[in-house]
Amino acid sequence: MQIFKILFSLLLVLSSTSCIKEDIINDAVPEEVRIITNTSTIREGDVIILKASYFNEVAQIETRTLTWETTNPAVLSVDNLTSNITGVAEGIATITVKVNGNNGELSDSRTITVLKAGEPIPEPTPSDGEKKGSLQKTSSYVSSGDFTIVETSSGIRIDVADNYRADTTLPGFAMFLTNNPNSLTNAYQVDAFDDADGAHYTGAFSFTVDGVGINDYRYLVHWCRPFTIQVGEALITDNE
Amino acid sequence: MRHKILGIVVLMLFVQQAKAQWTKGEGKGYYKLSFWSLVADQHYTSSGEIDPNATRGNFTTSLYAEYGVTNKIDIITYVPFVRVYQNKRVSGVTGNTLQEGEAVNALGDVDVALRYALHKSSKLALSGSLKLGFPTGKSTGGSDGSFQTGDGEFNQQLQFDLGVPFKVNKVGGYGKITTAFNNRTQGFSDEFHYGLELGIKPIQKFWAIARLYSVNSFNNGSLSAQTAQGSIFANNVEYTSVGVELAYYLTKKLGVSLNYTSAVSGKIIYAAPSYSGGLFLEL
Repeated sequence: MQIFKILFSLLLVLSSTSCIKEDIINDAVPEEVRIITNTSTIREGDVIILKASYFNEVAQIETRTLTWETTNPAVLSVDNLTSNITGVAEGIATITVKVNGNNGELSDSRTITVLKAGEPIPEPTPSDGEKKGSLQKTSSYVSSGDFTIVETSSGIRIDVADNYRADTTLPGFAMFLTNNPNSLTNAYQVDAFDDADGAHYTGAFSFTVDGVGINDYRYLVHWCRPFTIQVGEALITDNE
Repeated sequence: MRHKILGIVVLMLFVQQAKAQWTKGEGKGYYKLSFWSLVADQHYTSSGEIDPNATRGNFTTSLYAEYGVTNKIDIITYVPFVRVYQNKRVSGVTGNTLQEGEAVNALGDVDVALRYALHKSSKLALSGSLKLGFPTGKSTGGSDGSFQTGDGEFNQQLQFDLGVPFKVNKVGGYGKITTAFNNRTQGFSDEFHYGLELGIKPIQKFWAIARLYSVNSFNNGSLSAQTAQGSIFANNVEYTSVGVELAYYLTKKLGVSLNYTSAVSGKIIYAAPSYSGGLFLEL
């Protein structure tokens, strides 16, 4: 029985120390620059600071020198030093931000309407600045449904449609906003099986997300969180 | 996924029990010290398809013992010590760590069984067993509760083994059919098991054993991924596995064995082969 004791001790040591290796994840995404500030209308004399961010090949924000341009400085001027835009005269202009990425120049644009001084800025309609997307499964698990995203006074609201489906058999289901669908790094959890109110799996529903801007994230994704499996993905686009 | 977790315990116990239709006989015993290893980066989903997952491993060291209390009754126990781990996840672009690796070491679910020889002759052996699975493992473990070494439920499995010895061209062997009903608690679905086993002894001291085993859920449990509240031990796990075991007697009483088993189909179970080895003693 001595050999059993020795072997048992050896196996116990082995079993408690067997090595944890590395999984190499392909988390590359196209780099981009994105205007974050959600402004489409200002008045003559109004000054607004525009915010834009550069996202690198893994969608992490990096500090880079941004260059702002306007298509019509007589209507809308831009200060490259401060990122301020100023309404000069009634009209429409397109603001463009550019940055030198690792693989060439990147840009993003926004059309802005300048109203006469003192003229009230129209109340935004539900579709102003609205985003949309459609979940597609990326595995054999169920993930589907259309959604829209609108700004609220405290953040955003994600409205999923009647055709929304998440897989009820998925252990550890969770839904995230992210800029990199291949990784949960810097992702924002919107819904999960272990939420206080549980997860929503089927049909129309509204998720209120406070403290998040409508241009902060590029993707809505479904994951099996404990086993880090991406099961669904939707690109968030303008609802035009 | 929850392979998880996967019905692993059943699979591990199964590979311990060669020739299990024959009771040991009063005062006789069979003792086995084993390791069992499974590393998987994919799994059978709830619909039976294969999907990837973060690489997880299970390394189990176990003690298995059979002892003949009488000529017709054996007492059997299985005690596993389990290490469950997940690989570190690293960005392929930056090399930065996306998620640290993690591991949990703990006692697994202990089984205790009684086996009764219903019929025992030179031509046929029929035994019935009642196996009790105690929830001695961790039903939640690790940072998110998914590193489990047990399912948290007490189950009772009634099993019948029918074995027939044979000899063909001076090669001895046996065939065995197993059927079992596993009554599970805590909202887990009950299961029907069946297995086929063929063992041959082509040369003295050496056994080669082939196995097929299948676990089928009655899907009558209330536990679901939604109601499990973070429990990763899956309900409604199903699989059919095939395996080969080679056993060699170093002496009349002491031997070594190696086993390879893999699920060929399944639901909610890792899609990867397992390997085990052991040292057994017959007294």
